[in-house]
Amino acid sequence: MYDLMLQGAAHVFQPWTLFAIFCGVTGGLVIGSIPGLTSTMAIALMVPLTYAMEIEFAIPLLMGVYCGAISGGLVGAILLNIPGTPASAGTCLDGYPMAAKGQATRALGLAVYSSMIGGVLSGLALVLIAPTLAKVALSFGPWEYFALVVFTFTCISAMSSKGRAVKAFMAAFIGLALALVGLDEASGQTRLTFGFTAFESGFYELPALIGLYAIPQLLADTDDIGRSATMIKINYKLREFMGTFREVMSRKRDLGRSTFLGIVIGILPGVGPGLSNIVAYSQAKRASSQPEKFGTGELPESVMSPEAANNASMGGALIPMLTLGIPGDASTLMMLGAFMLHGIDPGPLLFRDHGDIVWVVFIAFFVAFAFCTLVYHFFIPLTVKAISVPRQYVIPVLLILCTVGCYALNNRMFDVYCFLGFGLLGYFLHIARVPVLPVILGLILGPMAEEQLSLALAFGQGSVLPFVTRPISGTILLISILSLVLPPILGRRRRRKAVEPA
Amino acid sequence: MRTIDLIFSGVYLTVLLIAFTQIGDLREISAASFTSAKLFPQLVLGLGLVMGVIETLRTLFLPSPADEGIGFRQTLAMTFRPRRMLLLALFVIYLAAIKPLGFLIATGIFCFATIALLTPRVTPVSLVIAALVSVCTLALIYQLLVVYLQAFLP
Amino acid sequence: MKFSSYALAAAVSALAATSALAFPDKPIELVVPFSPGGGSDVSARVFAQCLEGQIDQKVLIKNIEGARGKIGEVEVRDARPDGYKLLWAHQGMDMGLATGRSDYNYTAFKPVASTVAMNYGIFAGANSGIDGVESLKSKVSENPGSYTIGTALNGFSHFAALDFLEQAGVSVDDVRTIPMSGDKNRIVAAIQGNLTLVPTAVGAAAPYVDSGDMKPVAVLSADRDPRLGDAQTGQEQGADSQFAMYFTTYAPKDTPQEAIDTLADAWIAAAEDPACQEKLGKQSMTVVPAKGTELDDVLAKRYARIEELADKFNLTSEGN
Repeated sequence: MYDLMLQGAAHVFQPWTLFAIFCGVTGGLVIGSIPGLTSTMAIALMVPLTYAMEIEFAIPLLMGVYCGAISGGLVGAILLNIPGTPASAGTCLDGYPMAAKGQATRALGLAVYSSMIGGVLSGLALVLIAPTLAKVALSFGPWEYFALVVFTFTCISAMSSKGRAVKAFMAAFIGLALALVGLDEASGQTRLTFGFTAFESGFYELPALIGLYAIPQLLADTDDIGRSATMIKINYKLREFMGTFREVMSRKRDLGRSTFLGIVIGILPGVGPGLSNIVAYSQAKRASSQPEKFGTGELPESVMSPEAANNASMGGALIPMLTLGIPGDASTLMMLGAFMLHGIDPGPLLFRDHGDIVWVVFIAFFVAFAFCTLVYHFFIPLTVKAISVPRQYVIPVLLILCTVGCYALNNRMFDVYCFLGFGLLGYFLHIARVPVLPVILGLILGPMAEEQLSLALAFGQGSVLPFVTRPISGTILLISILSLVLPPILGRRRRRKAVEPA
Repeated sequence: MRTIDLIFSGVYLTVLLIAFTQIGDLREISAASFTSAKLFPQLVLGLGLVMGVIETLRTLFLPSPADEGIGFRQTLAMTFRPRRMLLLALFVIYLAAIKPLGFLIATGIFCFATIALLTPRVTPVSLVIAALVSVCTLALIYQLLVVYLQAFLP
Repeated sequence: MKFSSYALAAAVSALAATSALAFPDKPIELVVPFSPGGGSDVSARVFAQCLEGQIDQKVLIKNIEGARGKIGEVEVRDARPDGYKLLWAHQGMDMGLATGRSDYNYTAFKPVASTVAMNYGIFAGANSGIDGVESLKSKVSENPGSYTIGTALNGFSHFAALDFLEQAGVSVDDVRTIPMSGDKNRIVAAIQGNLTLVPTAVGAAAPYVDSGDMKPVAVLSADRDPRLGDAQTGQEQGADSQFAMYFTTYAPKDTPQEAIDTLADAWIAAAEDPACQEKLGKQSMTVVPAKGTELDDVLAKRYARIEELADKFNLTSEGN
């Protein structure tokens, strides 16, 4: 094992390879942090370029882009309230309010350090217990997946402000209904296309995400033009930025919980960082002693939890990819293609046949995170400066970038029109004061729920009993029900207690 | 805010009802007798409708919460503020113009026009800045996507 | 006037001649109607590398996914027929028409050349105890209805499974069909023991066969697959099912014949290059080159089989 590790290290610690990781991280960070240019796009465009390279060079470069692009999403989420990936949608909830209060440096610092810690911890899990974790992933059948979807769905109640939970669920059903549009994968027939061929592909989550967040935000931003007083005033100080590290370390419990959730959700193929950040956020809120302060941008853990979780999911998503050859999310799916093109089959035999490549992945992952942390210290001041550029210049440029980004995902104008359509929907919801995050969640969860439910019923010959009798799915469902029912009851009791002494 | 809430519920219920009736036209999968092509869509849309009805009843019969901050008229005025509508109109025209004009030309014009129209006081200097920003954006997109990443432009 | 119109006509014809000679004078887009990283994408990209040197211009891969390939196919079908936008499709396109999902098949295009082929096979989870056609037959006749096969309904895997089951003499009613799409999803379900039979590309299943998680039942090709030399073909076991995935390059219907010929020559030359075949072999892909009338016959024959299966197993009647 050690000689393989040394071999892997020897591959990575070549000046040119290190340089490649560095470029990958920097490029990924820039692309990931610009709203509209998403991490999926960065990787989709990078993977074909690596086909012509040596594998020892291509893999570290891709790892760099992967780490950089996914963690770069936090910048757009915090400074502009436009997440670049579903993975940082949870970060918007508290990161933007915190930045709007003038604490952008604090919000960015919290997010950067917690995501680095989450990433490194998940990397350790990847190195130390990958095969064991892979077994956990394999024990998840359709029943467990469906239960997990139900559980994530119940998290919506924790993410909405008081009295608006039903509205949030309605938004989620809008997402679920939109997810029905297109070709039904199981039965091979089209639904709700109203006769248009273009609709048969269904709606992709990224144009929807960018549209729902970017267009309402940019439209609302036009109000700020010419009013310099309302601009976010940011005085960036490196010391203040570094100082948040201590704040992050003071919340070890939240950090640990979010990282754990991130890894566990990340190893499940097909789930990935898009869900883990939302689950971690809602769990942090449930565990918190001041849940009413979530969403206001006061508490550090409300920014840290989603970021720690989504980066932890990255290491997690690599586990099924390397050990089973099953991609954890859209990005790892494309990396899988890169492995295959280099004549390496990720799968059960990768550790035996290509042990050195496995170590290249491991070491490159850590090096990428180290570079990522380093680059952030120079990159954040730049982004903070960029935010004080007058709005009239920022708005058209961002709209153009979103257009390009949506087009580049699938080379189709239809996706750009979707971006506009979802933008209008988002604007309508914004006016009606309905949160947009549940719409995205519904759009992501819908196809998964449908596929897993029909599979579970088909395997179980129409019986729904396995949902309850299988231990893991039964437990998850029980927790989901409790998490819906308990908080109102406990809350009422707490309120009564608070009233009694007075 | 009550009026807005009711409008939202109304639109929501209508859309879901249309979807629900459309799903009824799906045919069953004959090869797999245990699953139905209609089961999941009807489950989702049905639950969604129930949610909508609950919320509508709640808005109608429960006293609305205290944060009655902005009235209906104000909200409408805010929604259709001239600058917001201007930006939206420009963007729609831009998307429509990409195909006939070509991406690079359309983008240049859109960028320039938007900055010029959104700037509070149009001066020669602001026009020069607008032109500069447009050129830089185009250069950035071209350099990053076409040269480095070999992507396709619309 | 007469003179000038004559000159004009001469100029136009000269221009046309040079432009025909110059084809291709800009990069060619090859549309892959599936996502980057998948089997279609990998095959197209490897083949595009082989094309370098055979044709003067670059061949760029453009992924347009959605609706099982339909979105990308329609994009090329409706594109300007100048030979600069081509489609990299397999028989899944024809299955759309045969099952009533779409209203066109390969005849809506002008075929350029058929080059890369991916062998398909039927595999079983290791703990099912099935390791060949014989054991499959005996197990199914012992317990009809307790074994499952996962297929994307009306998709390639569904047709491959039906073709195999028919040739093997196993009644489709005795094996429960589970609708599930995606090679990897099916493989995972088989390893977990939830699913018995998996139709999938040989290359996708090979690592799991090597590790002992899966057993090959039959490879659906004439010869054994180079990647899994021990796996017997269906033919060897008395089930003469040959159902490989053939990637054919198509151009829009009205593309000029000269352009098609130029492209087809380059495609065939690339496919017959041993270095290219070696590259493809690493991805467990083989080369079955065909162009011109020979290709037309092959495509017609493949479509006839697809239609026959669709009729026989009643996939069309529920279509409309």
